[in-house]
Amino acid sequence: MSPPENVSQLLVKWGEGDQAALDKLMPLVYSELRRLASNYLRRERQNHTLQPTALVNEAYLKLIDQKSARWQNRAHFYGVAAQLMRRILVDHARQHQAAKRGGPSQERLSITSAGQLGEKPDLDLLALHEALEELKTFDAQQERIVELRYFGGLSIEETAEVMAIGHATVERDWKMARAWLRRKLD
Amino acid sequence: MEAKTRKVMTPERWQKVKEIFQAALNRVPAERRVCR
Repeated sequence: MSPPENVSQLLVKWGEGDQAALDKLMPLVYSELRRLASNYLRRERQNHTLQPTALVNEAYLKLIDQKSARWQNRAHFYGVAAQLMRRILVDHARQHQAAKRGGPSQERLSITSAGQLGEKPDLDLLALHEALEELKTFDAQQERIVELRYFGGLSIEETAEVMAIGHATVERDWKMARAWLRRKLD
Repeated sequence: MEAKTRKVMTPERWQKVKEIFQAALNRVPAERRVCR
């Protein structure tokens, strides 16, 4: 029997076009991100403000062998992690909202990401998620760009690499999506 | 009471907005008219 593959090996295989490697990679990353998010959210009692990109970064450092990592693999890891991080946080916020509904003190999960979305210091996670779902109905590419930048902390260059599109397109779409979201979330 | 009307964004309408946005980006800053 062959030994189980680690996250670094799976990432390299996926980068080489092996789609089965992605199927094996997702649950490993999901499980680590979920563990990190749960630990964080358990420690903080009220009105959480968290930086999803910090948790994604922590998961990367824990799961990936830094010596063999290439930047393209890093970008792809963050691409997967961004999507999973969003799902974990939205699930958490919804469960909490359902548990607290009607109660006197509604707990709110806010997120912040080094000022990436502009003026607001923190954002209501569910409001952002719902706005992104709406954006996806008319521009799925922009929705993915915001997800990668905001939940994964990817740079313009890394986002272009993950999505296999040009830097100029990412920059334009990022600007447009941010303008739309600011208006939507005001 | 007057009902608030807000146009629903569609992929076609968004594509037009994107084209206008791109055209503005293609102009040098001095050529862009400032909207206030």
